[in-house]
Amino acid sequence: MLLLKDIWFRYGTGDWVLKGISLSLGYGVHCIIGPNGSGKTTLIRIIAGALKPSRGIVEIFGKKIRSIKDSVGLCIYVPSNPHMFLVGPRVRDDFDKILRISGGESQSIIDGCGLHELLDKRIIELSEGQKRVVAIASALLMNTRLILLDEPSVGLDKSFRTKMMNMLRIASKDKIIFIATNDLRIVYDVDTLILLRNGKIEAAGAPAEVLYDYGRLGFRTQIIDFLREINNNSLYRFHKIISPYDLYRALRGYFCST
Amino acid sequence: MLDLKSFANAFMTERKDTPLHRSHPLLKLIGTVLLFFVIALSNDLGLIITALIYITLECFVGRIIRNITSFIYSMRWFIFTISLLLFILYEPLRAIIILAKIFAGTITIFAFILSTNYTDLMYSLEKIRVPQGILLPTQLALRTIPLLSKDALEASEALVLRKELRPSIFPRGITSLLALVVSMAILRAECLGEALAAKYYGVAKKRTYLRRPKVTAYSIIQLAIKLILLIIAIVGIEVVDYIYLIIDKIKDMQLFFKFG
Repeated sequence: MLLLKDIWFRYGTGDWVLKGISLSLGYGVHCIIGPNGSGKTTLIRIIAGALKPSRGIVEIFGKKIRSIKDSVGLCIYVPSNPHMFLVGPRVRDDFDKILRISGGESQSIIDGCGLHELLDKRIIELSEGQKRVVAIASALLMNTRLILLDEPSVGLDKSFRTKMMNMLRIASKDKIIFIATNDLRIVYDVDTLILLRNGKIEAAGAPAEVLYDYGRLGFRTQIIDFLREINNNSLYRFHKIISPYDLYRALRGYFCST
Repeated sequence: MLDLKSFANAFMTERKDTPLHRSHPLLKLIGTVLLFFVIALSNDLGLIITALIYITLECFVGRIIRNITSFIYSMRWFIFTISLLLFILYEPLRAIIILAKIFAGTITIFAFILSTNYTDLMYSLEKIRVPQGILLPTQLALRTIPLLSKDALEASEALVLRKELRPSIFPRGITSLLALVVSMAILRAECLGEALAAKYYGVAKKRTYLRRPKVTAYSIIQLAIKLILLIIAIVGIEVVDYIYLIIDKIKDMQLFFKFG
């Protein structure tokens, strides 16, 4: 279980970036969304032990995290720049290195993510999106029960995005997957959606309910993108006339029906 | 041996409006070179300590003391090893002098890097006909130091959790980190080069600068102080003796006024 108790954080003597964040998350895919600069990446780095909170406690499966050394073997962190995670030189070498440390097998993940064609390519030759998928696959190969992903869907096309989410869902049976993103196209497929705003958790719960709050806070255009993604054209067509409450009801209807 | 987190933090600074930041970049560059010569030439501990105190005061004025401490903290193991070697190889006074020189020299250069607007510096250097072929790469190299240190920090965090890098005084797996950072630097340079070429950078003989740096009183004062220090270093006056001499003179004067 991932436990955050009253986390406060600021860089140096600046303004508070996180103001009293408390969370308790079990196995599953959990996603944190929020406007730019709301503290998502900072929170992920605090969980990984890379940043020390000014106040508060981080616990991963009962172990208190005071520095990055404490979280080695407990969690893995894929930064927003996937290049920083992959040691290569080829994709196959990267997987082999991880498997030497963690054991296990890579075939199911290679199949699941559709990485056969990329295996013999050099990391430096891959596109940003391909690097990201390979980084996520490497993270899934690590034998850790907490995976932290910063902006995992940037640069991914719909096919890779769907494959990635499927793999994350399968892995989440015995792992906590914590995603920080601004991409509302992936959030409908998570267990918990957390809305972070101005360093505070504004809402947390099932995606449909939180998305309603997100819409209420003025992110209508992103909701329209989201609706476009789920191909509900009737909703998309009438986005200009529906009220936030109607939108909420429509979203809830969609989630209840699927 | 290098604490990447503190090293990256050392370069994170926002634009400040202090006399140090406002001073003319060219005069500041000359001042920095002069002070560096003072530190390099002099073997007088008093003079080197004076230079160190002066540059520390400048850092206080420029409100960059936190960055300096962060930078020194990031190098703590390196400094410890060097100190150990110096005290083994040299006599204590000589070792202290060399250490003071290393500290003063590093802080001098670092304070200049942190408190200078590179565009203003380029403008000033262009005015004295330094070719753009030298200016542009230097400016870009200086600008990418904070970015690269941030990349290195991000990569080191990810690699530690991947168990590829084991942090200690002599870290294991440092080659993986270096490979990542170097390849990232090449990628960045490639992107930057393309972006600059797309903006016709370097095609025109002269660049357009939106503002011109001004010669402030502070820039002249700092240059004068550094020049005096250089003269003292060249002439070879031992500052500590000189200070004692002045104190004795003051005492004599006090006695003179007391007893008539």
